[in-house]
Amino acid sequence: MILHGHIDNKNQLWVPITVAGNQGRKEVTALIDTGFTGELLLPLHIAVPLGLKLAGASSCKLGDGSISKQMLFSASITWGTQTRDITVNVIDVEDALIGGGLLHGYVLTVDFQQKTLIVKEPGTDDPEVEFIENRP
Amino acid sequence: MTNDNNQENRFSLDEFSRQSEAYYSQIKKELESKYKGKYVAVDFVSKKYWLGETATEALTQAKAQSSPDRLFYLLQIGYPSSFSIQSITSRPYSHPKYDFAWSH
Repeated sequence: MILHGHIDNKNQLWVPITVAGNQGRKEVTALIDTGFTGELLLPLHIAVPLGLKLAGASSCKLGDGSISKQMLFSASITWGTQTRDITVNVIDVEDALIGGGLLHGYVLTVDFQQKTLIVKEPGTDDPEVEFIENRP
Repeated sequence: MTNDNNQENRFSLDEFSRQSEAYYSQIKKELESKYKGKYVAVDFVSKKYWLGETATEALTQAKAQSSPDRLFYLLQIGYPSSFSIQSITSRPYSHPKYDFAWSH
C-alpha cells in the first residue's frame, strides 16, 4: 500500500482517507499528528452523519496534562488500497487527526524540501520510483 | 452515530467510566505485572476483560467473545490514560446536539 499525502504552507502533513460507518462514507483529509497516540480522531460534525457504531469509552491525556473521558467508535477506513477496521476517538474539534496508532507498522516518508509525503507498507515499492529506477 | 445496545441499565459517560475504572482497580495489579503496555477492554458488569496489542484488537476481541452491541471501557495497562493528544487542551466542550444513550 502506497499513499501520497501533501504538505501545506504551514508544513502540516495531510493524508486522504475514506471513513465509512453504518449510514455513509466520506473522504476526509486528515492531519498527521504524532502527538496523538490513537488511530483516528474525528470531529463530531464529520462522525455523526456517518453513523459510526459506539464501541465504548476511554480516557485521554490532553496537552495541558488533564485527563478527558472520550467516546470510542468503530469505523472502517480506506487509505491507499487498503481497508481496515479501526477505533475512532470523537470530540468537538475542527480537523481529523491521524495518530501514531494508525501509522504503526507503516513507513512515513516526509520530504519538506520537495514537499512530498508518502505512507507505505514496508516492502511495498512505489511504482513511480520503480519505473524511474528501471528505465534504461 | 448508533448504539444498538438494548440492555436495561443506562449510565452517563462519567458513571460508565467510574464503574469501569473501579472494576479495573481490582485487576490492575495482576494485569500490570504481566501485560504492561497492552490494551485491555473491560466490562464491569460481567467482570470480564479482553487484551490486545492495540486498542482496536482489544475491542474487537471483546465484541467477538461478548456481544457486538456491548460497550467496553478501554485502558492501556500501566498508563494513566489510554490515549494522549498533545495538540488539544481541555476546554469546556459539550455535545448539545447529540445525546448518546449509554447502555450496559
